[in-house]
Amino acid sequence: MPARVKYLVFRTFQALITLGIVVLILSSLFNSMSEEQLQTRIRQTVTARVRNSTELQQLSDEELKEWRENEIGKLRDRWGLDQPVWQRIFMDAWDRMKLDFGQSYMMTAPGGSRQVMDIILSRLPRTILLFTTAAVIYVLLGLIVGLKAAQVAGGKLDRFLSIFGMTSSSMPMWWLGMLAILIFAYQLGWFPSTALPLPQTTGLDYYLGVLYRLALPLGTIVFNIFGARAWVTRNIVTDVLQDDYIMAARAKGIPERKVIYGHTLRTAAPPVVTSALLSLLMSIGGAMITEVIFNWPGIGLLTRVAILQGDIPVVMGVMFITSAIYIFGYLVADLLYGLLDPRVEVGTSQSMR
Amino acid sequence: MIRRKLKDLIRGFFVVFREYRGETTGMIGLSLIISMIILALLAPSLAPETNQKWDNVDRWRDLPGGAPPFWMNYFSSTSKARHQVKNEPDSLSSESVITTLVYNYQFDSDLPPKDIIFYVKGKYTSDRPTLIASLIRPGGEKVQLATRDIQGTEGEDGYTFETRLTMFGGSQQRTKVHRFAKEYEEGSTPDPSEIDVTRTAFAKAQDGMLSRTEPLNGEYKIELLLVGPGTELTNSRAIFTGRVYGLMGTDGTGHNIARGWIWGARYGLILGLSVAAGTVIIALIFGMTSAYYGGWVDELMQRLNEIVMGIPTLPILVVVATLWGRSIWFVIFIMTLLYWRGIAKTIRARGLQIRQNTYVEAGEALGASGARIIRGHMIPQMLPYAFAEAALMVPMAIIAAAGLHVLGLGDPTVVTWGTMLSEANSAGATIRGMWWWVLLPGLGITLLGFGFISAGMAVERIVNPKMKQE
Repeated sequence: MPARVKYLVFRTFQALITLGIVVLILSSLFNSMSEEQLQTRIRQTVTARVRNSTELQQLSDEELKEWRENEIGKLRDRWGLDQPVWQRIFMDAWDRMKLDFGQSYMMTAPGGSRQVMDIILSRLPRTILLFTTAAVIYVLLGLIVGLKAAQVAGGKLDRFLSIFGMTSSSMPMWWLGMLAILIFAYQLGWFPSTALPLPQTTGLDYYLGVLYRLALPLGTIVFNIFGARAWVTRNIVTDVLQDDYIMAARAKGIPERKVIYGHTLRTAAPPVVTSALLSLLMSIGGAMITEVIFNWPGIGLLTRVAILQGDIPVVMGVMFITSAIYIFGYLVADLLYGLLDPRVEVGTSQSMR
Repeated sequence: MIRRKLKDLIRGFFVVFREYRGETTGMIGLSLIISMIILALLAPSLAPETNQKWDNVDRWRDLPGGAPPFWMNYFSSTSKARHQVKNEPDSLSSESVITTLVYNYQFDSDLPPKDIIFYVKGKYTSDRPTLIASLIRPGGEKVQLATRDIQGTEGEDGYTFETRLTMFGGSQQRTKVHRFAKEYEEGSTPDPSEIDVTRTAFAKAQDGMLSRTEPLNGEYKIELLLVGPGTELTNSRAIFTGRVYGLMGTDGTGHNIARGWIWGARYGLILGLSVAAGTVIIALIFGMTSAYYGGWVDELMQRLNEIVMGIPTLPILVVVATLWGRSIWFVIFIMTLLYWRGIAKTIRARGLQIRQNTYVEAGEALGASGARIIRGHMIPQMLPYAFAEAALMVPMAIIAAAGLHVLGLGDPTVVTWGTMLSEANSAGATIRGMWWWVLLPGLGITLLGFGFISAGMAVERIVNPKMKQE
């Protein structure tokens, strides 16, 4: 096996183990909560069955009590509550690693399915639509503005960007969202203050309706993040601009445009591209409070409602996906960096760091 | 030994600070931080009875609800009455069984006060006195508005009482103002429930007094009659609740936002600095140990770091707060347990460089233990970096904690910027246009965050000259 493939397999395996341990931690954290929920549910199910069956109501108190205990025992077995705690935690984590998220307690997907996977998949596209679109915009905008600022380091744009980057990144995104609603929904009335209800039409009208609801949150996210991103790009590029070969190129009289776009960008590409990819990947997880503020029916709002209702399988499912995106996102970014930057020799290092 | 180390540390601090003074944004940031710290320290005396009594409705009921800050008058074409408290009546006379108090009110804005509230304190011997409040308009018309039979508590010599009377508060007063104004109205008259009582009471007596009010400026007198034999007045106070209030306005329930803001600075700093200190200490020890020992120790610690990296923070914070309580100290603890991870990675990377230095090798050759080299040689080298990282951690922690508040999981016993924002959010301040309620608390977060970020970046630029602007 070539070194590169071996390294890839090794790193993927390592990431899987990391994910497994994270899931184990999450499972044990949630165990007591989910156990309580299950107990209540079992009691409710049995009571409902007694209420709905005339046969059972004719039983004597003694018999009914016995039947109930029997039934509760059966259900406890079915949900695995008879097993020791550690075994349940392990089984739980193992199921999740097999992407079997189980059934929700209450929540349903639009089709009526109670499968946690279906529920999450029904919401995921909306979060991707909002946050990944925003990520594409702020990554590109950050790149353009950052490059412009780096060209004249210490210039007007550069100084403005440094202040803007620092200010905008110390603002909570959801607070900017509240301000955006205040200005553009309340004061000017250009956009709706809430994304729900979603448009009920079809075809072009539907997409226009979605776009209308998308504009405000999208603008908020881009405004919040692009300054800091541009600043990071600017720092990477100015760093490269101080290298000797750039000075040599300038000394030779190569036009500045060529120095920037030819020489500098080639060196600056690996960190810039890697962090761009990382941003795109991470954006899939969304941002809970921003979705709550805009009532955007994505993963974040789903998590919030699931936590409020105590629907633990859903919460766990979302957390699994978020963790997996984190861990594999970093892995992909790391590998990509190795591919892009010839100075990093992938797979040959003994310690495989 | 320790004293010499301390001396070194202080000298190092001054070396960095001498350069720091040249950093403009850094100095702005530092002054922001210092002013916030001063505010935070003075919070109990600047804003007493705020943090503990935030949820106490009685504490805030004499303040107008939802009033914008007073300086809005300078930006708006309609000037609104400011909040005013008079602790003494302008004239006080007593005649047999009647005590007369008169408060003068100079009305020179476009919108009158929201209400007028009286506190009257005194005692009587046996017969319960009556309190009658009337408004005397500049033209001399007198509108009798509120009456109240006073009920005191029995004491050694007679009864003592303290009564609170709102002049325009009830539906009765509404009807009285309506009846007074109806006579001037020529067209159709709106229902008493639809009028703005004080605006009508302080309007020109002409057609449209009920719906299209025009303010009648001038000196109004508010007359309070305390009627009853053997009645003695000890104290009285009149509050003209403003349409604008204070430096930062009030929120929907009448909380003085400026007071809450000061406590927000206090708890923001407590939370941010605690988390920053905790995470940086953990990260320093973790990253340095990892970098110094290398090999399998490093490998293991890096995997551990990655595991913590994989834990989604906000959902965990939410779940932990739901399960085990929302105390601010507990939130600080959980954040510290989670947030060290990123800093530890940076510190390890720097540590690997420091480890290459000859003095580390020399220390090893002299037989110093690993712990000693880390403590004595590597950590001091890292301190400026650690400081920069800690500064960047502060806004992150504050924003996350404020987010918890917005999700309804903040500590209910403290007043933070997040508390106010969460109240603004659940009261729908954004779609009711109460911008000051949304803008100002968030501005606190932003200012403090900007202070720490710019300070941290300035330190980073000093210790890492490659980042310097050309």
